[in-house]
Amino acid sequence: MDNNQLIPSGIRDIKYRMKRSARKGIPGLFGMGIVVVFMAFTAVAQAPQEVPQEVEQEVQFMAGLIDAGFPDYANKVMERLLLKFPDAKMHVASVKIRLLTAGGKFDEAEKVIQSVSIDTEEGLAMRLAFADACYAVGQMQRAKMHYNAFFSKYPGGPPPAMQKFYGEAAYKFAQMLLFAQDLPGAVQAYRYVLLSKPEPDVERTLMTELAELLLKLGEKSSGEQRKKCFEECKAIATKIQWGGVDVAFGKTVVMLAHIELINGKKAEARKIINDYMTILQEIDNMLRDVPDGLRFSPMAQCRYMLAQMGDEEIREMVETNAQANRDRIIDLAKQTLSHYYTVLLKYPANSWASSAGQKGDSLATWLTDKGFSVGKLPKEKLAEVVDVLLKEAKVLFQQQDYKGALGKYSAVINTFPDIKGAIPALGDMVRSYIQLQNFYAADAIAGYLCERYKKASPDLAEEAGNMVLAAAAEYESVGDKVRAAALNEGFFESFPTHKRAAIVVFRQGETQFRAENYATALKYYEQVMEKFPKERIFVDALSRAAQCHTQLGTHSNAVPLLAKHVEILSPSPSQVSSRLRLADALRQTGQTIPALNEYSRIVKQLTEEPDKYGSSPDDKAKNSKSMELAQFWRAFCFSRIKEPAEQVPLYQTKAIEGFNQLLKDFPKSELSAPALSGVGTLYFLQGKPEEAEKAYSRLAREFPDSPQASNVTFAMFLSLKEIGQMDKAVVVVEKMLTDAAKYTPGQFLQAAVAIYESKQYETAAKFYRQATKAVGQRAIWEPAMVGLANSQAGAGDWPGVVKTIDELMAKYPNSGFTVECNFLLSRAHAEVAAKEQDAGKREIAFNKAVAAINQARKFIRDAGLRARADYETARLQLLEGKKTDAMASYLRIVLLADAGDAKVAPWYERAVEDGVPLMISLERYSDALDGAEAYLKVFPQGRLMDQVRQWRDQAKVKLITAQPAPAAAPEVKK
Amino acid sequence: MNSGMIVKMAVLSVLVAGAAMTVAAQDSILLTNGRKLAARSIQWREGEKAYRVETPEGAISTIPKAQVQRVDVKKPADWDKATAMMAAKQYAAAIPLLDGIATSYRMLGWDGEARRLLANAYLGMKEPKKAADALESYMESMPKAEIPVEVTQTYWNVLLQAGRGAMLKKDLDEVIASGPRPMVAAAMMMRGNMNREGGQKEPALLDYLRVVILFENIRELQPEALFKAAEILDELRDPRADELRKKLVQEYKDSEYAAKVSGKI
Repeated sequence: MDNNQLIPSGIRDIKYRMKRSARKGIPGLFGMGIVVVFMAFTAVAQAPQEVPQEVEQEVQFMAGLIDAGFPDYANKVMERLLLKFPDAKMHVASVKIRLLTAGGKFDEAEKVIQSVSIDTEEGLAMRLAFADACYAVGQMQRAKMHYNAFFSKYPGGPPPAMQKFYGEAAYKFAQMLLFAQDLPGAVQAYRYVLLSKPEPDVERTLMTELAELLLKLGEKSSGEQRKKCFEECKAIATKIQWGGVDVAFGKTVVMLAHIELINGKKAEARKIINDYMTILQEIDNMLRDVPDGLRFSPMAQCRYMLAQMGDEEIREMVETNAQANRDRIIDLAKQTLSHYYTVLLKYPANSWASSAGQKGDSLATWLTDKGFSVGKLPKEKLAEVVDVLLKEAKVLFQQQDYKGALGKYSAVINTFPDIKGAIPALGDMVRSYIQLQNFYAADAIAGYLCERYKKASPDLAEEAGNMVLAAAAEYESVGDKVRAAALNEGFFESFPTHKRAAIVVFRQGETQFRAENYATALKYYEQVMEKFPKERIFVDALSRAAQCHTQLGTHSNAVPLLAKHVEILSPSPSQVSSRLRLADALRQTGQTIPALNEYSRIVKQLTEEPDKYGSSPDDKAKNSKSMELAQFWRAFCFSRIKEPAEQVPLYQTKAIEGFNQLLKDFPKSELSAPALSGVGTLYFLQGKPEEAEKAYSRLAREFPDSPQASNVTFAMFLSLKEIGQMDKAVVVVEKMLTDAAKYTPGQFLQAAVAIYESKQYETAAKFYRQATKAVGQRAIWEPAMVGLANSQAGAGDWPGVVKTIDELMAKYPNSGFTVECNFLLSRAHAEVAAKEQDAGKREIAFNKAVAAINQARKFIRDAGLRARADYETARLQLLEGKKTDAMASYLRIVLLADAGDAKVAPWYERAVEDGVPLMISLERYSDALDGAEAYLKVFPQGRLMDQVRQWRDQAKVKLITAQPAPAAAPEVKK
Repeated sequence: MNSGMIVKMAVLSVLVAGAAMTVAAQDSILLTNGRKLAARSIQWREGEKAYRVETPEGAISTIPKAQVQRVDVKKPADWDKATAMMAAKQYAAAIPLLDGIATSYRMLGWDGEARRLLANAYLGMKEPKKAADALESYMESMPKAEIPVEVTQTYWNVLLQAGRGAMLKKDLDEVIASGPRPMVAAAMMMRGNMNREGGQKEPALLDYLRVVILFENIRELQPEALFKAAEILDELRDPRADELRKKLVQEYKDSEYAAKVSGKI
């Protein structure tokens, strides 16, 4: 039959036109074109008539506000918009419904809908918005009901003004139903779409999709139902063919052939394809000129169908009578394999390619087993083809044509998943998906790489691991740190012995370290230390972990790490620097003698063997800085030693010598001023006022701008304080009060803070009072008042605390110190209440205490303050006599708070310090043991180490010897 | 001033690039037909609405404004001195120089920037009304599309500080209704500032949130919008301020606004 007779006469002479799918990315049945319904609200809300831009924008804004968690503001915007544009009701209808459904108020939303007539635009828009919301939460039946109610209003199609709105709603409904696998519903929805009289190009695509759905539905049905579906499919196919020769035309050929196949008429099916072959070839030729056009060629599917039919026939003939059918089998096998391999080789991006390759291979193998010599695609040819395809894919990837690259890679990997080159291909696929922001697909393939190759041979595992790391780096490059971190975790779990595993974990620590998340960074460094003790990076992890502890203030934990670090390193500036850090950590934890020894070691090493620790100019500069610091702190440590008492003058002399040596060796040092101040103070202590005066004069002369020079009295106070001579320090600093006019409120404040830190509360209070004279300077007055209240608290003047805080809060009700003030107020009221004899007044005072804590809690945002609030609550409960409640509050902190957080740590320690002995006194030995062990785990070298060990042992003994009390379950508050 | 960092996409059609002063060795004039003419001198003729161009050979020609795409004139002699004075906050000394440049270089590319600096000088001297006056005539005489972005924003700030709320509102409303996207975003930001200044917290908050939600791709404005919206929410004691701060720190961690809030999270 002449092919031309198959082309409807009316269009025989019309030039072929090429059409791509009108809806890009939604290839109907075979695609993933499911619209995310919930986000298309505003599209649904659009009316066909002209919409003021402001209304459109505000509707979009409202939707954005709801998504961002501001439904209350969305409501306000809606109210204002309706005031300005009363006719915008329809446009905001969907938002109104969304506001209700976002809050889970589906029943209320439905009531609202039912109160609005379906005959109004507002009513229609609301119903559809509600239906979409129902769909989004899986209430499919409800969604269908409302959609169908909408469409049933226009059985013959919508009026012209509604067509666009109607059509979009119908298409969206169709996709929903497809996703829910409701084929009959989807078919009907497509009919609705066509009733909206779309543009010709769109109509053509829709008809094609409907025909494909009817085919699918018919295949699943039987009898009369099937017949109806196929008839309608054929009718639509004919209409499409009348419309021109393009991809849609080609698809109708596939459908018509498929119908014959389903009806068991293979010969008819074959005939249809063969009869249309010329036209299919024309379509192919035109698609060849379109980038990636062959992916959509109907020729591929037609050839595949021919191949499948041939495949079945061959197997039947072989099974029936191979010998008698030999010639026919060979002939048919050639054609069939030709079809299969043509689909694979010429249409690699087409969805049928991989299956064609597999089936061709399978048939050839089967025939060979049956004794036939068939022209199977030789492995070399196959490898050659695959290699070419992979290279082509790589080029596309490098040109950043990620879609194209994915098409080619998918074809190869789906057919030959374990081919040489599969791993890098998979790696490129992951990265392509990341760039296309298809994170689900990216993660799926990355997951496959991990699962498939984690137990493979070392070289394959290494290659796969590298691909996963490359994918993580790709996520970093697009700014998605969360997914990057997740992939790195996955890499580490699947390839723990990979060459780069240690570095990957270390780098994750570095990322957190740079972001100053020291507690999190520490976990990564500890992982490196635990799992890779022999890797080079272990040494760096040691150092970094110690740095984290220093930043977190847990110096005691840094000490053993630094000691090990020093031990591992060879003599070098790094070793010197590490020893300096070790000395600092020892000093910070009050271990003065060990710190002194380490500083002395540094001085000795750099004095006696400087070249051993670095000979280049850079090294010498680093070591010089270390020497400077070591000299200063060594002298400082000498000045701190108090035992044995008879040796103290000797140590003071050594301190003076040390400071003087520093001044001689490093005259421009930043530490010179504090060193001179220290010398002056030490001479003062040794009863050598003239020498002291010389030192302070030199300080004022050579370092006039230093803080020490600007307030020598205060500097002397600080020096005495640091040396541990607190009594003398207080005597010195009180001179400031005598000559108060000479000093500014700011200087009094500074002194007050230092005095308070030395727990000299009454003196601190005096200094804070001086500072509060700066009534007009809020930046001084406010902290001074808070400091005064704290000092009064320290001195036990609780009524004073209440008065001070009340005055502060009255003047600045929104003070930045609100939380601190409420903590103080709570404690003060509680202390006053504890001493109050009158029961009524006592109750009032305790109530005020509780109210203050609750007020503080309202403003708390960080974990440290939360821990403090729990601690203060415990103290309050103790004062109320509620020991068990207090114990529970302490336990809450000890067992639940994150002691690794620097802000939480001090309250954690206090909770242990107060709580564990309380638990023992209440005979809660099990809780006391838990608390003690929790502390020792977190702070193995903490300041309470010895005391807590004693409590732990005491609790253990009691548990063995006494009747155990039931352990109180800590009340966990959210 | 972060509001000053607006994407220049909005002013691709700007004929006089106020912010990108080309310092050519010789003056030149670029015509709309793509031809470039070198010039010994270029003068603006207000009455004729045209440029009088003297070529290096001495020929004189008059070119109507409509045919001119851009004018590149050498930097004014006092320009560096004026800008150095501005940098040193010697506003009183800078003002006469800038005024002179703005007048002498009208329509020659330097006037817009000179007026902007002049306005900033008056603002520095706490004279917002004079700042507004310095810019007003310029703003009224130039087609909106030709005014450099930075000049527009300075003008808005000046109007706000000069208490000319009504005029500012009118300008902002116009831009919001019909301006290019980046300018619309900047105008909403400015409207938010204006509302906030007037104690209107909720309208201000909504304007900042509009910038965040509707103009997410105008990244230069996001940190400021997130920061200010969070501030207002704090004032309203709304804990959702934390979510905005979190977004600011996570997505714009290098911005100065993220640095400001890092202690609060």
